[in-house]
This record gives sequence, structure tokens and C-alpha cells, in this order.
Amino acid sequence: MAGYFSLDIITPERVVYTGAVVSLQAPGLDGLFGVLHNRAPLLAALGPGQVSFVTREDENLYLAISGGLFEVANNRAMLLAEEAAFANEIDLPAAEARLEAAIAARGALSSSEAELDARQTEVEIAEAWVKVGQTARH
Amino acid sequence: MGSLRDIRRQIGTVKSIAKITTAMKMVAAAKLRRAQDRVNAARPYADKMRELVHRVAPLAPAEVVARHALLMPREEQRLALVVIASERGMCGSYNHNILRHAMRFVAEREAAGWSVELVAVGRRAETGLKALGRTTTAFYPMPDVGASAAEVRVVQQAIVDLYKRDEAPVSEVWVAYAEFINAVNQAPRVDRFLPIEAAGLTGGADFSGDTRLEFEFAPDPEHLLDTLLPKFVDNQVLHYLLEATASEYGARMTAMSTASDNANDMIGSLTLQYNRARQDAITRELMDIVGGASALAGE
Repeated sequence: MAGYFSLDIITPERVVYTGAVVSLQAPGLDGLFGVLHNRAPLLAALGPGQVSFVTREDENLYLAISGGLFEVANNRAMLLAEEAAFANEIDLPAAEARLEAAIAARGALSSSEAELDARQTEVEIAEAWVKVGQTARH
Repeated sequence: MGSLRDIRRQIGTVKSIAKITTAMKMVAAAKLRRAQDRVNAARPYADKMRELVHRVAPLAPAEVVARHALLMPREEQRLALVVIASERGMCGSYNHNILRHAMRFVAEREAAGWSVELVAVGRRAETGLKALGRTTTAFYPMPDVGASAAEVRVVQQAIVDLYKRDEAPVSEVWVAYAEFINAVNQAPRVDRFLPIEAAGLTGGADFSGDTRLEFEFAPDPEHLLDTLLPKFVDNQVLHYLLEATASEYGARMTAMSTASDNANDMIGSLTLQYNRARQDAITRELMDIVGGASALAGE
């Protein structure tokens, strides 16, 4: 029998999810990583992207996050994100509009490096929302 | 004492004022509840964030932490003060108290040779500072209870950027706001927001050595701090804004409740006056009739 660990997903606005999960995949800054039962303690920074996890009830859940932090120790995991939305909470047309706007904004000229970085991040966040929003359809 | 009709009209006016203030009180109470819910909803995130910073900061090399942009003390005797007040009035002495505290702080710092830049959040902060003969370098509307995350982020970003910008750098950013204690009590405060006290990061929470060693960090603590600190700082701004919103609606609810009480008292005394005037008129008429009747009887 596969072991499980507890997961809390928290944003500044609400507690998004609390429950027991079997496995989790999250977009670390250096690439995707997976977490299973009895994972060695880890603290990781997350980029924008898709978090997917399998609950103890064997349900696959997909979550879009704008970036955040992930901590796991003693089979207790906590994910902090500024923004997070489950696939079924995403308004796909709105997400696609946001992506288009973000791509258009990225094309504009700017001398500030920070500004360019921020636009690139916004594109990546919008992409995550669209990608996760699309999984809800299948 | 006015005529009967004047008094009646006055009672009508006061009654409609009472109706309005009672309605405003109800609205403020409902918004206060929502604002408090937001404060509570934000707490787990804020607590965890603080814990993570306290855990990671001691692990990064001390000189790296000290060099981090958000921690570095600077030389300039310039500071920015962000004054957070409300968008609208009708909230008693809420705005006045914040402005008074802010100005006392400004006076102290200016006496010590600092130059102070003022930034207003909320229309009342802007107009209030202007009335005191101060100019503000920027104004942002105060996000309301139901404001979207994006609206809040604009203000958040603007406040953090005060410290990051290259032209006219400030060495400290302070925030004047009202801390929410309860619906009738709000404590105006002026807090230093940036740079973060490095001592407060590394000290405070106690994580024993062995727990630290167990953790694997991705990326390493030094770079993790680059991600963590800006988020921590953003969250601190959110905290100020949420506290301010709860305080504002608390103050407004109390002010409107007092206003309704006063209006009801006034209705009471006006009604008394009205009845007295009415009784006077009746008595006068009776006297006339009795006088007339006795004059006739005497004939």
C-alpha cells in the first residue's frame, strides 16, 4: 500500500486545499520535482506552473500557481503561493485573454531589466493558467 | 421656540438623517466582518512565511544576508512615509488620528535632519496631508474590502518599489496606519517597513541545529532568500492594508452608531418640544374660549 502525506495549500487569501495525498509534482525553479511518502525534508522555491497531485482517494487534481514555496518534513507538506486556482476554478476564456495581453505586453520596448523580467513572469503565469484550465475540459 | 410646523419639519429631517446613519452603520458592520475574515484568512500564510524566513535566513552566509537589497541599511538621510487612510469620510476621527501620528513622526525626523517624502494611500490621506500644507509624491486609492488581488498588488508593488528605485533613493520606508484592535479601538501606528531588521530575521524563532541540517534546499539558502524575502515583504504590505481596512470599518461603524444615537436623542428632545408647543397652543385656545364664554355669561 502506498503511503501518503498531508498537504496544505495556502494563499494570502484563503486555504486552497487541505488533505492527504499520495504523490505530488511541482514546478521547482530548477525544474519539475516529485514528492512521495517519506520524502526527506525539503524546502523549495517554485516558479509559475502546474502543480498536480493524487489524493488518498485516488483523485488527480491540477492546480495553477503563480510561483511560491514548498516545504515538506515528516510527511507534512505545505505549499505557499501568491495565487492558486484548481483546474475547475479557472475561467478559460479569461485566462486565454490574459495570456494574449501578457504576450502583447512582453513585445513592447522597455529599458528596465526588472520590467522585462516581470513581463516574462506574467506570461509564464498566464500560460500556467491556460494549461491547467485546459485539463479541466478533458 | 419655533412654530409647530418648524419643529415638525426639523423632526422629519433628523429622522431621515438617523435612517441614513443607521444604514451606513449596518453597511460598515457587514464590511467590517468581511475585513476581519480577510485578516484571519491571511494569517496562516503570513505565519508560515515568517517561519520560513526565520529558518532560511540564518543558513545563508551572514554577509550575503547583509548585502541583500531589502536588508541593506543606506547612508542617505532620506525616508519615505506611506500614510494609509480611508477613501471616504464619515468615519469619525480615524483619518485625523492617523495624520496626527504621521505628522508627529515627520516633525521628529525633520528635526533630526532627515528629509521626508510622503506617499498617500486613500483619498483622505492625500487631502489631509494637503490641508496640512504637505505635498505627496504619489497617491494610490485604498483598495476596498472586495478588491481583487490585482488591485491590491498595484499598491503593494508601489510601496515596495519606493525602496528599490534608483533615482532619489530613500534609506528607510515607514508606514503610518491604524492597527485593528477591536471595532471601537484602533491604534494609529508608524512602523518601519524597510529595510527589514536583519537581527529580527536571524534571531527570534528558535530552530535547533539538527533540524536545520536535515533540510534540503532547492535552490540553496542564499538564492532561496532571493525568492523568499520579496514575498515576505509583499505579504507585510498586505498585512498593513488589511489591518487598515478593518480599522477603517471599525471606526466607521462606531462613528455611525454614535451619530444614530445622537439623532435619536435629538428626535426625543424635539418631540418633547413639539408636544409642549402643541399643549401651549391648546391651552391658549381654551383660555380664549373660556374667556369668551365668561364674558358672555357676565352680560
